Amino acid sequence: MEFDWSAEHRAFRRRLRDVLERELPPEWPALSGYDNGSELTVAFSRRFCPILASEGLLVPHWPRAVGGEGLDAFHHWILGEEMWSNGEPRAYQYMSVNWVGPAILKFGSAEQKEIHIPRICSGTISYCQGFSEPDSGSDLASLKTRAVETDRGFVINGQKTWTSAASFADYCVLLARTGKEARAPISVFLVPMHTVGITVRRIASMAGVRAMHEVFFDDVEVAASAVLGELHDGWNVTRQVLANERIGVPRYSLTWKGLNRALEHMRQDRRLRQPVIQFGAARCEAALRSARLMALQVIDRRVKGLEVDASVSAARYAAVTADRLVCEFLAENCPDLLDAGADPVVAACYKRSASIGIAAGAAEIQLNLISQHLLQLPKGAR
Amino acid sequence: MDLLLNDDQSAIAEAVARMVERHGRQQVGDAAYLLQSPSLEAALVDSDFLNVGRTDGWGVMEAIVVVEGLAQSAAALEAGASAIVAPGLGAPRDLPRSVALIDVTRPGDVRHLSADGSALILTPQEVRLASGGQLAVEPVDTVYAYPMGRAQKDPRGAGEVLPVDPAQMRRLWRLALGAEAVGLMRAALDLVVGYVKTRKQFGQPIGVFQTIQHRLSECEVLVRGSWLLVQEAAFRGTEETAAFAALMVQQAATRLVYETHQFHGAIGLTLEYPLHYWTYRLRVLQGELGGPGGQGVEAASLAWPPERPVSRDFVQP
Repeated sequence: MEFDWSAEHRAFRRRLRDVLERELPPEWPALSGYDNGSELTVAFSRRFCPILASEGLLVPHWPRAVGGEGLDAFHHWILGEEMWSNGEPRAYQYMSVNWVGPAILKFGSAEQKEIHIPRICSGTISYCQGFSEPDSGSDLASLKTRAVETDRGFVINGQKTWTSAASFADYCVLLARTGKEARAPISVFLVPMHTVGITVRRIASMAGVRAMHEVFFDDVEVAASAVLGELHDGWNVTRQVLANERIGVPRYSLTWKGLNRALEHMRQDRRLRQPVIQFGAARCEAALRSARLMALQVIDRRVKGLEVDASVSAARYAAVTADRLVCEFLAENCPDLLDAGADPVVAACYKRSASIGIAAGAAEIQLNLISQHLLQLPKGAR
Repeated sequence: MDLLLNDDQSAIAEAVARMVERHGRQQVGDAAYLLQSPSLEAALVDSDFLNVGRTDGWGVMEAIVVVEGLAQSAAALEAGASAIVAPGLGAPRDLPRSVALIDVTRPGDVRHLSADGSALILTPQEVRLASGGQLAVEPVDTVYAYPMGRAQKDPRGAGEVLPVDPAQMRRLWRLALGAEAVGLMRAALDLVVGYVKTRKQFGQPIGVFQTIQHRLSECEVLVRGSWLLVQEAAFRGTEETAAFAALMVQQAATRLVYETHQFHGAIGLTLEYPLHYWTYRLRVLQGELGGPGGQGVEAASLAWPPERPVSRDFVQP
């Protein structure tokens, strides 16, 4: 076993930090609030992602043949850590790199690859995820949005919700039933968000200013070529998407940064000398370290070409636990640091932690997957 | 970055598991708190597994693999002090067994402490090694699943001083208890997972119930996270990482002891069933070196000393 980064990995991180230092505006944490849906961050991302692309830093782990640098998946993870801990200045373009692009590369037609991949690689396109519906959250397979086949393609009707970035995304990766029966098979569509019949309503939330939307599809017409993968094979595509999504964002990196900033404040005012604070902080630190190692172990399996099983869910659950622990520690031991204007990074860390156990599959869904696939406990009535 | 066991480490883990299996990993004893296995003890000594840390090309990483694997045996074997602590302190090979670890600042009976064995003695100022009758010891009854002994007088002056910093012994002790606790937790978790698959109530295996599934899944996450922290601490060789690892492990042990007993119900309370061979060793380990509170305060003192700004960089070198 080897727990140190290679010289190549360290150099890659340094390059990222150099770019961030050069490009991020002064007072970035306070200005952006580390909210990747803010007007400022989204506007910044449209300038920043092409810069990352031009320096070979946007999709470093993709093969050269499709626009990447052919580097191992640890580079992708390092990229995620550096970006997320700086409030994700790619806005929601991280999704393009983490799971939309890989899904298109794996399941897309030649035409879809030609349309999407160069734009993802150049940092000039963003997506939203049309999965959850008002009555289909954890039970995603019960979704009702329907795409009916016509002579010209499909007509889509339905409603999506909690959709991040929908008000500024270029495309929606949409799940819809294809067929007339109530439990007809599911297919995945790549739907341009400017298509007639799509209405987006922003939902104010504590997860970020444009982290949640409702998206209504009323007789939205798309071409047959909008289907990603085989028609009716959407569940298979989705499972692979979710596996990438669950481990796509190193959320602990911002949590850790927030914790460290809080500890520095408490070192200066001497609170960090109290054993009860030390113990609480050490518990958080240990949880963060183990969550990070579990995530890195999953990446290591990818790098080695090994099967990535439900250890993804275990890593995700460890991250959820660590986030929650830090959030509780901050609230219980330094509520003053959460006051308005006290420290934007601590505030962002605290605010972000509200959603980690819910987004990308509720924590309890991860536990279901661990019990089925790692412990191999029998599936029963839930 | 390589977070999976390498070929040598995997081979060691498999060989240890085979040896444990041959001597009955989940054997049932004489309805006592403690199970000992003279045959496994003899096989262990013959195997030289306790010296992997002293072997060229191998070290403490391999030693923790051995200790974790041996802990999965129902029988209480002494391995952590012999395979991890003694070599790291430069103590001689093949000390009279078993080797006990004594912290003179914390009173109480000591696991594996015996009159004819050895003891590594941690004081605030020094580390001492007592063996060959240099420390008078009496065996004591115990409700734990370790053989326990009691020093008849203060061990501070016993034996010889080893030329090492006491901090080094604390670090190695934490690794040893971490590796052992992970093996114990893994075995207890395996046992309860097997049990809930077969124990039927309400006409179905209780393992179908989501409350049981979720709580055991959380245990799985804790065991995996603990093991990685112990491995990283062994790799880095720092006091700080060892303290964080021991903190994580001791907290996880508390949870594992509770959950594995809870889902066994009454059968897990009997001495006829083997669960306590693991959990009643965990109960000892979860309080060593000050327990989670002690590890947490020490880890924090090492990670965030008052005179040094807390780094805003979360990345290890």
